[in-house]
Amino acid sequence: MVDAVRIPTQGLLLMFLGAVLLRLAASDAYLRYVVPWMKWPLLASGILLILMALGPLFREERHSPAHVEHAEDDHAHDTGHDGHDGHGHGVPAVTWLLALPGIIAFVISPPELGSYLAERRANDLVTVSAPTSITTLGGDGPVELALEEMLFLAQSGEPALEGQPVVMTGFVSWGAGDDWYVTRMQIGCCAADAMAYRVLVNGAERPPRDQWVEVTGVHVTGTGVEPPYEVELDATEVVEIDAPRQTYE
Amino acid sequence: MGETTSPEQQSTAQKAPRAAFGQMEVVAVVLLVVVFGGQFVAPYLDSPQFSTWSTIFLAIVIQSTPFLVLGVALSAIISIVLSERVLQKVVPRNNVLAVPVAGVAGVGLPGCECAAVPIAGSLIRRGIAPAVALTFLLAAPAVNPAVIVSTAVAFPGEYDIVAARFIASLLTAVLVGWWCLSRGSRLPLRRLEQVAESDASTRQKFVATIRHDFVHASGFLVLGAILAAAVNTFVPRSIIDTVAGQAVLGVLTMALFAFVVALCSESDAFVAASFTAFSDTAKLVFMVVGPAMDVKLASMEAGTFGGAFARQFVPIVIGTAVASACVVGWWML
Repeated sequence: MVDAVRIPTQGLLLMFLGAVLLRLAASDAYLRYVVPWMKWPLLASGILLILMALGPLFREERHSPAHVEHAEDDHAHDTGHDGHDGHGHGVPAVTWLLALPGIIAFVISPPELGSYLAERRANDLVTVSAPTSITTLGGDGPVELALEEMLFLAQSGEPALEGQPVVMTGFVSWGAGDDWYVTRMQIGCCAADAMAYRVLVNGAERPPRDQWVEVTGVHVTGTGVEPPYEVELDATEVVEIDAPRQTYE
Repeated sequence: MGETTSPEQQSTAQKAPRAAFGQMEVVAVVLLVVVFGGQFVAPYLDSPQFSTWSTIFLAIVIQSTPFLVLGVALSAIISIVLSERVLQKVVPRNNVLAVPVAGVAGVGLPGCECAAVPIAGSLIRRGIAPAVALTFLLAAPAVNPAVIVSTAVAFPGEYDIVAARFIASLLTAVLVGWWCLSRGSRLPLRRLEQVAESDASTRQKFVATIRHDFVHASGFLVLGAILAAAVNTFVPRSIIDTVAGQAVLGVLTMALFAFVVALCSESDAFVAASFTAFSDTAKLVFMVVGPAMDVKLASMEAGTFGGAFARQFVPIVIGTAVASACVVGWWML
């Protein structure tokens, strides 16, 4: 049987979780899991968790949980039902799981999502709604485009895309045969809702998986308009680069 | 959960900690070993499946924790600072009327669903009828402005979907609230007690309440995150797409998927929009079931309100959500 989590240990677990949140938010590591604006909520809740932990950590165990939590017996009339089954209402054993996020963070230090998930999601049909800002196309030089924007322009059959050289940054994921894609994950809230945006790259040797690349090329007109919405690019140049600070779009 | 020691045994165990090397010291040593030794173990755990699972798991926990902290802090304010008289003034005396009022009040809590569970718990503790508090719990994550805006962004120009989501979610919350009201005292809700001693200072009560609520809900949140991350990593969405053409099966699959992936309500619209092969009604089902009930919420509710309650509440909520989304979808979309 799992031991009940005693009050000082609860304090320790809270402090551990709080410290993990602070550590992730203070470095850029949190960007692998959540969106940038979560930094301040993470810092604030990390500090709060540590403050919450101080009491039980540095206090002698004079309050047993049974004593603390059975304080007001005159409260029964308020709840207005007879569901009380007389159980002890101690801390559930599942509270031990509080240690798990910290253990995972320190031992695994999980990386940002990459080619593994992108390739598993390869058969998802990705349709893109209009991005908040649209880059103006035209001019002589190559235009930098986010993957999301590229997919949107291709899906809506944008005429200005024809013959326009574009530059896209992403990591490499593989497809069937020698196919490879320049790929970017997009997250709305956290990594659990990630979607993979991919553009098939023609005419360049396939780099290793998860290598970050900057691909210059021209959209193959007509690709990506109909399901399965696979956008193709004739590459003129592929440069291997370091991963950016923020890997998600 | 699964704790078999009686309260007496437990309290004696707590009153007589082994003097020299207690539980806390053992745990502290283990955590220190993890912090400083973890990096040496990591290379042996380097499989893409496992690291993807752990990224998503950690992401869910990290995303939810600040909202849970916000929730327990608000819940402590409700428990300690708001007087019962104020609460009774705000909430209509007639419970049948109070249920829809609580549903609409959900507009005022812009946050993920994790915050709502401790708040509902503290409302019940302060003597609000459970049906009213549970209505708030169901409505708040689905009808708040942040969710409405993100839904409108995910479905540009399709305002009927945004409206349908709002109406169907509110309808679900109110119908389940009335169901709880009709069950009355037969609802097997765990008795929720005041956390702190009545002679403690306000500050002590406040801290004790926050800690109690957080410790009770967070373990279940982690449990839910473990399951949701596994589904997210290992179940390919193309499996789901195979049933997209079938009306009934499509709806049921989307409801099940919403339950198991446990996305936060502010981002699930984007995922719903990406299921292009499904009917609008099936997408609506996904967005109405998700915020009302998912594996993470079910786990937290079982922890806060008791397992017997969750076994009744969870299927009722899912059934009601599917039904109201289908009706609203048929009417509006």
